[in-house]
Amino acid sequence: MSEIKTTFFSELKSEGTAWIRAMGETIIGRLVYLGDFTRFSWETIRWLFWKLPSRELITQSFYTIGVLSLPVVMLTGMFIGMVLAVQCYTQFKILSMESMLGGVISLSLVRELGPVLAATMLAGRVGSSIAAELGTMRVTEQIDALSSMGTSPLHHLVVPRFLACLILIPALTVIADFTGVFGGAFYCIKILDIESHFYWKNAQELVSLFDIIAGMLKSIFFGGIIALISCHQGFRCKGGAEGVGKAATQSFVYSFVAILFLDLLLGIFIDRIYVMFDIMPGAVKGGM
Amino acid sequence: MSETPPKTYFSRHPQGDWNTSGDDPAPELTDEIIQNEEPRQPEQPRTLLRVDNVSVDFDGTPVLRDIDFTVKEGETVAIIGESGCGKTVLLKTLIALNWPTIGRVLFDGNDLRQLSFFELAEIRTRYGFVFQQAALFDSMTVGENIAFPLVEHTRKSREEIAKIVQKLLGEVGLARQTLSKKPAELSGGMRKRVGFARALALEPELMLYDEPTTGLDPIMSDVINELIISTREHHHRVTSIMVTHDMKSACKVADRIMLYPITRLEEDEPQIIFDAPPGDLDTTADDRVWQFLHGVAGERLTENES
Repeated sequence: MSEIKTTFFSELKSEGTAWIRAMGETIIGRLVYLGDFTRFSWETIRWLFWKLPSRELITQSFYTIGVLSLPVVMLTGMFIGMVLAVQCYTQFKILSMESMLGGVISLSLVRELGPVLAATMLAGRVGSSIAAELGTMRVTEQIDALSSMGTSPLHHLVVPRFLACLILIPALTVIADFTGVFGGAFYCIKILDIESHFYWKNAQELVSLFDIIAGMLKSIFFGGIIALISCHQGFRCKGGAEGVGKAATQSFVYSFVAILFLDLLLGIFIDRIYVMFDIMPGAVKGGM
Repeated sequence: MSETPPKTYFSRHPQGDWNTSGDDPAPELTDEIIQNEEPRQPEQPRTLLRVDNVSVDFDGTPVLRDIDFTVKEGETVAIIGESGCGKTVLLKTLIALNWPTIGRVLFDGNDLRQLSFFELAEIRTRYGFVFQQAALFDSMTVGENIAFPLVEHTRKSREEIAKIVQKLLGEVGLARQTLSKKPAELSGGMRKRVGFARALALEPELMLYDEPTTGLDPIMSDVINELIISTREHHHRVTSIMVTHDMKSACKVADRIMLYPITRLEEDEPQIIFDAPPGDLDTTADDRVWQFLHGVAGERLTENES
């Protein structure tokens, strides 16, 4: 009887249950990653409140993450504004509502496109660079060297980058919003000959302060998650040059997915607040 | 010329215990007492590091098994072993960069596992670690690399740190112009020397060397060996542990050589086997040790194929 049982289970193991095993391994792997990421994030946030890194380290991170990202963010914002103007103009012209473009472009940029596209750009530029830099430090034992000297790698390497992303990605988003609004305005007023007074009047009426705050709130979360994912990928990097490349790619992919997921969650949350406090901008107010 | 007697005299208690309380009146030091006093035994060096039955697994794969050894203060120990046998893992376990799956590592009586993060950080400042590829920080200059531990862990002024950095640079035989260079601009040997200087910055009690001569030409290897020896002399006989598969280096530098894993880090045995004539050994294990020590492949190629 026991022989039959053994044979039965060995067959099951080799053929029928292989996919269950593979699936189980994948699920456990994901859960382990999530647990490790949560612990890593928690430790980083604890260090942030425990002891700030030196001014030199913070300034260096702010420069690399903030100042050097400025051109690419401004360019992205400006072109999004102009592309929105091109795409919307034909539709709005049919309805003879061209002057409404100012409001639509500004609102789209401030509430949604500005934060998401700026964050996506920065996940590519800043996130991948952080993951590659820290990954290289991991495979060349520089992170071990830090630990061996009694210095916390989290405090020295992660906290300054996290802080820079948390503070500067919202600032960069505001800059992307502004350049986007002005890019859209330039195209509408100078090329499409829309009356400048009505363009700006509609923009002013449709965009409220709360929209700007909501966009910034989103970008704070996006900044934080980009920094944590990228640093975590770098820290857990294995296997030389290939591992560094993988860490850089994965940091972008995971950051992008996280941005979209957070955008949905925060979108729902902000929408509830709009309805709850009845702060919808004038023109759309009646429709809700 | 008479020596001034010590203020506190160690006296034997009626129960036989030593005390320094000063409650008993100290007997007057007469010539008779001084002549009859037993000659003082030289002070025994304390055990600085104790590795207690340590095993390390990575994802269920055993890497180290049942390691037991002690290292006394001022000693230089070389751990030799075949490539991939876990020497670096062992070295990193000694400074808690890896945690043992079983067993414990005690530094100066402190079980590293039982320490809080800050206590461990404090203990780690008493170590110096020279990494195989030096592990210098790419974003910093040579000067900044050497100064790093001093900036992080001391309250010395910039001028004091600059002086120490220059002194250390001189000790490892590098020119002053090297200070402003980035690690990428240095040769392998120079990088190792900078790594040395950085490891010495906090005047460690225990130096750990991870294959310090690997990848270097014979002359540069000897320069590194000389550096290890001079480090002991300049830094009050610092305790050193070196992992290597360079027998020449181990023989030159170490007071004691331990072989892993064949002899499970038994002390002094490798030297006896090293001196034995070929084919004159009792066991297959001894034969393998002899082959390793003399660099003879033996039957290993056939083993790999099967």
